[in-house]
Amino acid sequence: MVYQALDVKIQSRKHILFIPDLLGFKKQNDLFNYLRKKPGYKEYLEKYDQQELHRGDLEVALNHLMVNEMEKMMHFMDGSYREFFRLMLKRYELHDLQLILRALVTGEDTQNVSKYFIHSKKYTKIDFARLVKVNSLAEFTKILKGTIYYDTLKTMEEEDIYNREWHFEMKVSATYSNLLYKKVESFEEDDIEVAKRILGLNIDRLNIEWIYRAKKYYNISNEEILVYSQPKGYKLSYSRLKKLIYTTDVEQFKKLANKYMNDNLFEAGDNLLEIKLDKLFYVSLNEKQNKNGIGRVMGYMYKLELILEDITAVAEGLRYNISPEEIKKYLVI
Amino acid sequence: MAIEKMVMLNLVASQLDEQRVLEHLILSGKVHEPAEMYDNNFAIHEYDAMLHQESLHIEFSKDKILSQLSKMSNQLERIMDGMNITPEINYEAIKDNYDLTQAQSDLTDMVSQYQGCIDQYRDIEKNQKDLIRLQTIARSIKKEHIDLEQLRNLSNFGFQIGVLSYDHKVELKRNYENISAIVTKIGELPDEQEDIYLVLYPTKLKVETKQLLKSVNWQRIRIPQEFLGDAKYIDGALQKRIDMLDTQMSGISNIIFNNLATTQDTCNKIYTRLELERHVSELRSKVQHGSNVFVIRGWIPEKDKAYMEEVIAGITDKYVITYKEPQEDLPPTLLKNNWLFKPFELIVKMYGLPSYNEVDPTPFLALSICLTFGIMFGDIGQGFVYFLAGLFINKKNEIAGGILTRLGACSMVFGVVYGSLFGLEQHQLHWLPSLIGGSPLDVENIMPILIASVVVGVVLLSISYFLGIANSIKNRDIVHGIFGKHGVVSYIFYLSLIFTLVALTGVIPVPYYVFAAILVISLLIIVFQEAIINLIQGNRPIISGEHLIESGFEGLETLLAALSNAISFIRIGAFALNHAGLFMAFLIMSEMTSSIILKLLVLFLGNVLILSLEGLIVFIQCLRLQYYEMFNKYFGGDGYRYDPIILGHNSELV
Repeated sequence: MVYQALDVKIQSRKHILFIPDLLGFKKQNDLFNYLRKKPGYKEYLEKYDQQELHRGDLEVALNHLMVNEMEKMMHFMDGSYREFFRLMLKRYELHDLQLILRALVTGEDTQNVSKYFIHSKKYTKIDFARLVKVNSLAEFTKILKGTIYYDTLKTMEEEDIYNREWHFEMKVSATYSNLLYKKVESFEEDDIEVAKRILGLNIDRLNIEWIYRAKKYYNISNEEILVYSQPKGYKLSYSRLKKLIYTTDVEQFKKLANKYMNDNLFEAGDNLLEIKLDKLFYVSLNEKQNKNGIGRVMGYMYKLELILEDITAVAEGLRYNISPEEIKKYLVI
Repeated sequence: MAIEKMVMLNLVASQLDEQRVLEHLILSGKVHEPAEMYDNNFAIHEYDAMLHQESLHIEFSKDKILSQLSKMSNQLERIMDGMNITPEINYEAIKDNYDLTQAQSDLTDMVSQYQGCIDQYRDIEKNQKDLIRLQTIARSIKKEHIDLEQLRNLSNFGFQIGVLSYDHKVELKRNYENISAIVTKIGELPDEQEDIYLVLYPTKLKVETKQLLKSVNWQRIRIPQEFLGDAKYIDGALQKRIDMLDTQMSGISNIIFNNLATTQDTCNKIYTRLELERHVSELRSKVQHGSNVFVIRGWIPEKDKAYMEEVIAGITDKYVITYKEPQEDLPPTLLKNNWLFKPFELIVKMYGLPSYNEVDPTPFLALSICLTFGIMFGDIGQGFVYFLAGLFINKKNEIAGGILTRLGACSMVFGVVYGSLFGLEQHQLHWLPSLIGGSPLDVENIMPILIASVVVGVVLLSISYFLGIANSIKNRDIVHGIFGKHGVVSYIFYLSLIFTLVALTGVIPVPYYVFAAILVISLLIIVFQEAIINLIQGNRPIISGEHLIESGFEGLETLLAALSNAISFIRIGAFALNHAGLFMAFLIMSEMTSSIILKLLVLFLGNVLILSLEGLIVFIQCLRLQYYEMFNKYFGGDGYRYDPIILGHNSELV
């Protein structure tokens, strides 16, 4: 693939990634007003009234930005590259499907959730208008026949949605991790290596977080944890993954995880594990070897995702009057 | 052969008749809803005062009616779905006062008569489908000696049969040493990437096993107690049950489908009524209401005035109809062409619909496209093939068929001019008629054909200029008509360019500098149009730099456009020659072999190629000439479609 056009595009969008002095805002409204004027953000925030912007709204708006950025980049791609990013967009589709599912079991009006939808309208093949009207999991499943969600859905029962809240997300994520990996195979030679490495790094971070959470909070067997883990990690091969999962207690797990990831993951405390992992991921994205060819595009996308998470974290911190020093702990970048 | 004349209907009537009046307006199928229902309040007050009535308080709630309607249509849909009926709009059916109450009672009757049966049928059908699936699975079990009945009786072990995908099987296999159950493949499902497995586990580990199975998307197959046994027994028992359900289903379907024709009629009636109600309530919420009258406006074709009055007079005598000629707001466009030109409306619409006060380009387009196609693709035989193909397609697609027959006919006419039958010419078939004598490719014919094509171009473009100027005059845009890019001056410029070239060749006894002088003058007029317009209007002829640059470029553009226009039409002649030339290639190839069969084969192939490929290319060239060279001179295409309210058409309402 020819990267000149894409590189220029990314170069011109880089300002989105850069927010000077994110911690300098005194009040939540200052941050909103700043974003409302910042090019790249303002299209998504203008429509909200500043007095009534909720956390959900900001997240939805930022996710729209993310999806839209990805769509924009896709204009400059073709063939398997385009399909690859199409698959990446499915993550947002999954998010929306989960919203509907959750509304379905809690008995909320499923039509109400549509305002939180973030999927790419341009690339989705799912009829969301029909989906929000369903009354049961069976109907939901029927509409999704022929999509990658169907295999998982057809074996699910309504109780699984709250008893195994992770089931749907994890199974589908694993399915499309596999698909992404397969799609990468048809990239150009130089890109295959970079793309696989970045995908693998991302999977590592997700897996460690998942195993830790599963071990600590969920009452599920090691066999299940293994099944739900995502395949094709970079540092965590299958055998390492298995060793990590079959550790006898959390302490041992931490030790082994630190060893495999070559870092002290738990230095800042257990509740900051996710941030720590994100930080590691961010650092790897900026390594020279991951910035070639397709790596630049993937890096831009993942970095954008991380900065948007930071913005949400700051907004949330300001809402509850948390000091900048404290907020800083929750920031990735 | 023009654009249908429209008038704005203004109807005032008592609110007592509102429902019925609106119904009939919709049923007439003539009323195009204007963008703005609001006219002015004056009329309403005036007529309100005239009626001298206590103010009417007619209850009307759009939401209430719509919710009733959607409830009814849901019921109706369910029944129609169960009976495989597609509803049709039928105006006749509701003619004699078939109102909503009646529709409601008919619907209730139908629901009580059929809904139960339909539901029952659906249930049995689903049940049967499940059993058939079970049977497929039972039949795919390879290890037939497993007796499930015996397995069930084990006291310390439990088992499950289910379906697992290959990927998940691999996941289990890689971690088999930690898994608390025996997982063994007992069969393969045909046409699916999933296999059937038997899972055997100690009763103590039941919960763990079940959870694990859940995590690998295990699809458990439950075989009801009564069918348990070895594979053969299961199959037999299932078959028996399936057959039984079949008989039950055919019994019920007799009841359901007994009176299908009558049911269809009733459904149509109800459906039509529902659609009508929906449109009426939609319209009702838009019309203007006074205290006891209402006013509705709508575009109708002028010729239907009498008919509309008849319709309204049939309902009530308390009404006033006025008509307004189109003024500020532009009426919708309805094209009106005779059978000969009608199919070509499609080509016009592909570019854009003419606006109401424009000249309908269809007739001119039809004639000119036939002419250019004929010249470029003149062949008696091949034209005839197109003609036949057009007749054939006509049944499926009237417009495409219509265009094809007409183009084919023109091709045949020019076939006679060139003397060409399936590519063969007078040189091969001496009896062929040929107006030009011999072949287009004969040396003495080439130049005349090319020149003729330019002449055709000049004529066609002249007409285009005239039409454009006429449009400008019609729109009272004189400035544009004279100085515009395609106005009088630029036409003079184009003509003088042509004549300068002609004079240079010495064909006409006028020295070329006469025309060249006109050329320069008209170019100057274009460049300095701003000043000239000011002068005519009695102002000071100020020339602003900005305008000068703008009109300077306009002059340059005019020059280039005129040149390219003049040259562009040479393609007509070139394609005429090319048509003959392409076939000549095949003719030469056929002469290289002595076998008569091969000769015919080559000529046949040549004709096929010409008919498919060259025909297409020539048609595209024709379109190109129309759209780029001619339409931009006289056709705006900013009109919008006359789209009267007709039941079943405006699906977005439903």
